[in-house]
Amino acid sequence: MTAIDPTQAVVFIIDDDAPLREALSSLLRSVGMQAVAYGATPEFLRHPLPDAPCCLLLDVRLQGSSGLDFQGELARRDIALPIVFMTGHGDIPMSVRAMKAGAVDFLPKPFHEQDLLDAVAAALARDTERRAAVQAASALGARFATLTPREREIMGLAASGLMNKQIAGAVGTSEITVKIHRANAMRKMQARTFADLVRMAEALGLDARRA
Amino acid sequence: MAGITTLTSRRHAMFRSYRSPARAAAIVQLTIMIFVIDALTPLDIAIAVLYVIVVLCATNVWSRRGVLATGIVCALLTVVAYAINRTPEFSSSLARCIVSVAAVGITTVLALAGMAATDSLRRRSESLRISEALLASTQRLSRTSSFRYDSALGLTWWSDEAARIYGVAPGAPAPDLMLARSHPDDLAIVRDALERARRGEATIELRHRLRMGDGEVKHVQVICSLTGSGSGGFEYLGALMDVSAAHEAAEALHRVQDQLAHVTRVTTLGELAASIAHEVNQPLAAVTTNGNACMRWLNRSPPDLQEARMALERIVDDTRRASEVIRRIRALARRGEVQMQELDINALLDDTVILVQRELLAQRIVLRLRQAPGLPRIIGDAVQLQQVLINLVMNAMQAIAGMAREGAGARRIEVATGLDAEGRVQVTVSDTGPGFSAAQAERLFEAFYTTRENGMGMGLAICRSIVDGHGGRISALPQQAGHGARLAFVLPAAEVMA
Repeated sequence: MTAIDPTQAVVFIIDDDAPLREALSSLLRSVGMQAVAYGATPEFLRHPLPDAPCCLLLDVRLQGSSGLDFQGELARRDIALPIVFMTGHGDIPMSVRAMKAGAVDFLPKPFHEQDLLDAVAAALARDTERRAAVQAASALGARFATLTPREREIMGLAASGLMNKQIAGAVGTSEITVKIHRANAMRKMQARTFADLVRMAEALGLDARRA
Repeated sequence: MAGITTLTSRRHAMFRSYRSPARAAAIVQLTIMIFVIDALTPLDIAIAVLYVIVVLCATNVWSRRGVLATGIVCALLTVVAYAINRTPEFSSSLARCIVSVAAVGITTVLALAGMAATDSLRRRSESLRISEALLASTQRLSRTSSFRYDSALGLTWWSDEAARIYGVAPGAPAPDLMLARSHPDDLAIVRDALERARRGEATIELRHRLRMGDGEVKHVQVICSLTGSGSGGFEYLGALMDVSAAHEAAEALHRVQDQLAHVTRVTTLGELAASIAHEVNQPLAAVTTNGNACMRWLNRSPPDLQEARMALERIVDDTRRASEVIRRIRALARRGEVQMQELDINALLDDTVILVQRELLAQRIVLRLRQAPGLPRIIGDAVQLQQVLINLVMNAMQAIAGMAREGAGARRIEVATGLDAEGRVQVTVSDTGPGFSAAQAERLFEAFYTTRENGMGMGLAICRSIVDGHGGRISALPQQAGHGARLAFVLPAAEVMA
């Protein structure tokens, strides 16, 4: 638990069985992964998540709350963390519930190490992907923030498919001015084609009628 | 005794044959012969006296009334013969007639008296025979027999049933049969009883086994009391009872109870299956994971020996942990003889809690243990007592599980150990469930009584039979306001028992 390297992926382990926790973190470390183990869920919640791809190895039966309940709690707290469940006596309804709620995998104990490592790798990959998506979204947002209100308005209207003339009519300005604003928006948003700009407007959820 | 019985019945048969018409005809013929000689021949002697023979013969043929009639007829015939045969020498023939009538009369009276005596004797022997037969069949039915024992001579007499119990032909017993037939393992008990008889103790009671020639084993109970002192020894009259059937029934009951206890134990284990699976899988998962990790540490270049060693050490610990769990479960699932041994109730409680811990966690129930230190040890069967503990905790758990899950503090089971006022070891299990009414509390330990929808109603009944079997007592304690059920059992401390 000492000194998490914030640039590296972290696997969190929550299991109330100390020997198993140690074994799991040893296995993960042996393949060069960073592992942090907790005995209970509140302990996990007290620590902030690092800014790196993470996943959670979670025991279904836990002291205080069940792993499935904790999965729901994370969702309510808006903590998007891929979860790999472990269970001593996995039954089908339980695994169905876990998978429906977005679990990456459901491993019955004792598990094959490769299954576990694969599941963890898949979970980390999913988190990496998610982080990239989030990051992309936030970069887009940052660029959008540099636009003037008029540029945003015109970008929205343009993306919704209106001609420059129509936009000029809608906002009450000349067609030339619309063209300048539109070119500024394309440059600030780093859109190479108009199609790029439309996709960005979609990603930002711009609504022409509201704008 | 059988001899007497057969003799009596033989005599009866004789009577019946004498009463045959042939005999009666012979008597009539004899009477006529005497009458003819008496009446028609001028012999100067009292022929009529021979009527005595007729009367005597009649006693064996007719009833008393018949004999009386015979006597009267004979006397009348004598008088008739005198009338026919009357001679001028009046005096001598009259005297003969009088003597004859007197002889017949006296004989008749004596014969009647004799017959009366015989009749009463016969009646008495008949009733004796009936009561003997009754006694024999009673003995046979109840498998109880009687015998006489003399400390100097050994067995001197016994009833037929005693011979049957000992598996020998009826008749006089062999004096030393008691020892000869005793089960080798019980010889000491019998020898001790015989020794006490030599000392002349007033009452001797013993229970032992007999081994028959064919290897069959019988359980007998013997009670004898001193009746007097005879030829250099003490004389006892005793009753010997074959209690094999009762003994077997008790054994069978015990076996069935054991089986039932085992079945419910296994059922309980089934209910705990999820927890047990977790308990076993946890260390196994740790072992596999550590093994894999160890291999990977070794495969690195350079190999990380420190990490590999640590993983191996953890494997050893985990293996020990797994086998410990399995040992506990196997002990509980085992179906064997009850093994009474000295136990520490607190250690037993710790062992038991491990099995239910998971289930408690799953139900979000807090188990609090309040174990008094330094309790005296108890004597008991660990498996059975664990079953009682599990049952009580599971009951408490199910009582709480039925309640709404609100306020973590409200879902609590407390198991406390301690000493009661009489120095017995007491275990109290209380919960925060709904408890039960006074009416329910009364029936709680009855078999098949349950307050649960899918309960079998055997749990507490078995708990009671187990605790009773340990010389203890289980009971529902009065409920305190705002609290759930409180059940407690006490077990005698080992020192007190010894």
